[in-house]
Amino acid sequence: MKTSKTVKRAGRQKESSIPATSGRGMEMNAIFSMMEKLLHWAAIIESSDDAIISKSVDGFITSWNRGAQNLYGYTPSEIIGKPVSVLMPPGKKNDFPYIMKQLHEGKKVERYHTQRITKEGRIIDVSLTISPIRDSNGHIIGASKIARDITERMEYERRRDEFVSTISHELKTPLTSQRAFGELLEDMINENGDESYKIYIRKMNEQTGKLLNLVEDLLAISKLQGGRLKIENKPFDLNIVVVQAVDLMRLTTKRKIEVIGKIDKKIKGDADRIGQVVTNLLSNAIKYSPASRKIVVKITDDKESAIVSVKDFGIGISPEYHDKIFESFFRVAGIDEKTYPGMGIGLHFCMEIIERHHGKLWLKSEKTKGSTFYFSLPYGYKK
Amino acid sequence: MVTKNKDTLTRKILIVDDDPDILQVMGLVLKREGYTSMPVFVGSEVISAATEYKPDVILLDMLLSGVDGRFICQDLKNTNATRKIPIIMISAHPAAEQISIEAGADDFIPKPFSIDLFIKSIEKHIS
Repeated sequence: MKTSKTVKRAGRQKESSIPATSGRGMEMNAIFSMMEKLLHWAAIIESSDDAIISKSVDGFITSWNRGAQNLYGYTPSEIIGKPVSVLMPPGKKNDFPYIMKQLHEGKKVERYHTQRITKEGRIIDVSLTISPIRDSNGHIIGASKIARDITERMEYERRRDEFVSTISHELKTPLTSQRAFGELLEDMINENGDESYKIYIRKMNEQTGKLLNLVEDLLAISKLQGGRLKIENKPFDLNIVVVQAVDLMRLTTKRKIEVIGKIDKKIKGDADRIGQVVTNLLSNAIKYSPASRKIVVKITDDKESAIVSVKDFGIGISPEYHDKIFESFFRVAGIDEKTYPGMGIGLHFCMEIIERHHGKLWLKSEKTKGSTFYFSLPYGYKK
Repeated sequence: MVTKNKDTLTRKILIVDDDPDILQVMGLVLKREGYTSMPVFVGSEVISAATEYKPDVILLDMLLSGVDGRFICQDLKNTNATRKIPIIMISAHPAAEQISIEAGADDFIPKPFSIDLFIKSIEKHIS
């Protein structure tokens, strides 16, 4: 910051020789103050561990900080004036037109995960944030780019996904024989066994089913977080999907589930995943309304979207938790709620599925007055 | 569960898995349905067992200790004596369905399967 101090001193000297009321003096003060700020910012940029680069509108590199040199291996003199595409490995060359298009439209590119190639030819995972730079007239004259090395993080995520995948495989293997032996035994007991045995074996098999669902949930959430959950994009009848999910749920509960309404148009998306969302909302509705007898499911629409709601008359949710409950692994911490089983991933899973369909998921609820969860699916959704 | 069917009595199923409990329960379920089955525990013995036993369907687990089930599947499809036998691959691995089809399998059953699905999948491939 030596330079900065010099400027400051010079500023004060000038100040003393020119009357404070002079317009020119004020102008100089403003210039010096601005220079000081600029140098301060320059020092921050230069000392940053993140690579901070600027480029012209046609994609040529115009500045290069120390972080960029550490990340990519090029010195400023080697790279300034070169096209930014030299940093893109084969297979990622399409990043260039995409990023340039965003910038020309004045849009920011945020946390864009991609790969880059270093001077030595090493491929690295980076997260890029790119913002357009405008002149005083608002014209775009270039772009600033912050690149963060996420190679280690990506490697960690890859290992975590592999671990979850291995764990789920390891859990499913014993569950396979447990389920098959259980079903076989249930069939045999149903044919010629004691009445009381039937209840016990059925309960055992139900629990095996629950365990299986938990393993599937664990795997699904890992896929979601890794961005590997596939979503189909085919037209389907939402009425049928809702009714099928309700019918399946009716097999597991004595609660009355009422279905109201019907829509005429078809939805485009993944019928199975939407079915999972309905099932999830229904099982929550049942779980969190132990003292009530009824659940109401409603299918409606407006011009843009179909809307499904699941209403229960249970313990409800305080407004302070209305956003939090959609986050992964979040569970309401109240004494009442703690007694309910769950991993805190169901609603997060639903939210992800609905968002992948460009829809919305929300709720209306008050503590002790029950909850209504809504999701909308736009008719115009195209992949 | 699907009821016993006398027509299936002559149908032979080759079951390949490295987990003895799964082999046993598949054998029991198949027997109840009237099929005869032959268990194979070791991956390297599948080709010879299939050639001699001439099954109507092969149920093949994907991960067998020491051998990758998909290579066995490819070998079976490349061997004259076994190429026409329908192969149903079975696996608990999340990406296994796609891999099975790429390896030339005729069908796929995810683990853990319900007995209903298991029997229906076999019936689909019994001509």
